[in-house]
Amino acid sequence: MRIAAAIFLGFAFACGLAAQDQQASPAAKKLNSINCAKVLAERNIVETVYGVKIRFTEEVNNILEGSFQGNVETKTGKRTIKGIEFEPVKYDPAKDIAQATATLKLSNIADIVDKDKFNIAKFPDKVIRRTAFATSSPDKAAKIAAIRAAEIDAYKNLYKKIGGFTLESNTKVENFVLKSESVKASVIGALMGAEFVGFSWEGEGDDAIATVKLRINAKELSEMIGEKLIDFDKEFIEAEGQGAQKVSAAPKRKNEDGKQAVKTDVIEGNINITP
Amino acid sequence: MPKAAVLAAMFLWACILVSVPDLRAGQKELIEKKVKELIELNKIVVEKNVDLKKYDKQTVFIKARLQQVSDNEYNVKVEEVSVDGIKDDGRKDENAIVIKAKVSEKADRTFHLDLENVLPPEKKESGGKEKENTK
Repeated sequence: MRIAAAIFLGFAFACGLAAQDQQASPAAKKLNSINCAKVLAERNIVETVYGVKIRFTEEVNNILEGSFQGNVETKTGKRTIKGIEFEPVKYDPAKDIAQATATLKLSNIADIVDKDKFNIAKFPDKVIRRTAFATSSPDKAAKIAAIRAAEIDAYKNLYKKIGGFTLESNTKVENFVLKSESVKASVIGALMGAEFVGFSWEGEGDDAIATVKLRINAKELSEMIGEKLIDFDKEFIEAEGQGAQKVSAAPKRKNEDGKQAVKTDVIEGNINITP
Repeated sequence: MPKAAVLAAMFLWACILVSVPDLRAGQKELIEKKVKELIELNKIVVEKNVDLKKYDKQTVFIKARLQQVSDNEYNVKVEEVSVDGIKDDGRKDENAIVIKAKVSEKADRTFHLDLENVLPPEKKESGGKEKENTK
C-alpha cells in the first residue's frame, strides 16, 4: 500500500510540481490540473475495458511485534483505445482540484476488440464511465494519491473475492495454543470490468483515511466473456479499499515575508544595458 | 561513563531515529488493521483445520487458498500442512476442508464522487473545540 501510495503521489507530483515550482499562474495550474485529471480518467477507462494486472503480498513477519510488509503493484499494458469522450470538466479554483469524467461507448471499440474473447455486440448501448481527480498543488496531491491508493486496494480486494488468494503461515504450537510466527497473503491476477462506485473519508486532515468502493457487474461481464465468474447470486460484486496519505517532504524554508524561498541560479540586480 | 560510550550511544540512537519509518496516524491505523486481519485469518485457518495436539511443540507450515465471499466472510481451503515447509509443486488437494469464517464487521459508509467531498474534513483545533463546548 505504501509503495502504491508513493508511486501515485509521485505521479501526481510529476503532473503538478513543475508548475508549482515555477510559480505558475492560476490559469496554468488550472490547465495542468484539468489535463492531468483527463489523462487519469482515460487510464481508468483502459483499466475497466482491458483490465488491470495485480500482484500483491501482505506479510506479518513477527506476529508478536506486528511487523508488517505490504506491497500492491498494478499494471495496465500498452493498449489501443479510441472514442473516449469527456463530460464537462469541473474545477475548484480555491482547492486547485479538477474532476474529469471520461465515457466510452463499447460499440466505439467494436473493431479493435477481440470478438472471440469479448462479446461486446451483446451490449451495444453499454457506456463505461470513469471519474478522476487531479491537482497541481503538492499539499492536496497526497490526499488525491490516498484515493488512488485506496482504489488499488479495492482492486486487490475485488480480486480476492473473484479469484481468491493464497495464505501461507509458519506457526508454532505450544501447549495446543498458537504462537504464530509469520503469515503471508498473496495474489497474482488480472481484473477487468471494475467500476468506481465512490469514495469516502474517515478522520480529518492529514491523518484521514480514504475508502474507495469498486464493483463489477458479474452478470454482464459473465455474458461478455462467455463464462461464469464465480458462484455468485447477486448482480454486483463489490469491494472496498483503503489508502492513507504519505508523509510529505519537509516544507521549503520561508523567507522573512512569509513567502516560499525559491532557489534559482539567477543573480538578481540592476543591469545597465544602455550606453 | 566514558565519553566514547556516550557518543556511541548517541550515534546509535540517531541511527535508530533515522531508520524508524515516519508514518502518519492513518497509515499506522491501516497497518494495525491489516496485521490484525492477517493474524485472525491465520488463526481461523490453523485452529479449524489443523490438529493442534498432533503438532504440539512443533512449528507447522500451512498453505491455504481463501476466497473472500463478502466483506467479512471467507471460504478457506487448506492445501498443505507440513512440519518441513511448504513445497511448491502446484498440486491440489481434492479432499481439502472448506469452512466459512467470519472475520470482521464493517460500518456502512456514504460514498461520494464529486469535487465537494474529494478532500477530507479539515482537522479541528482542539482549543477551539473546548471553547465551543464551554459556550
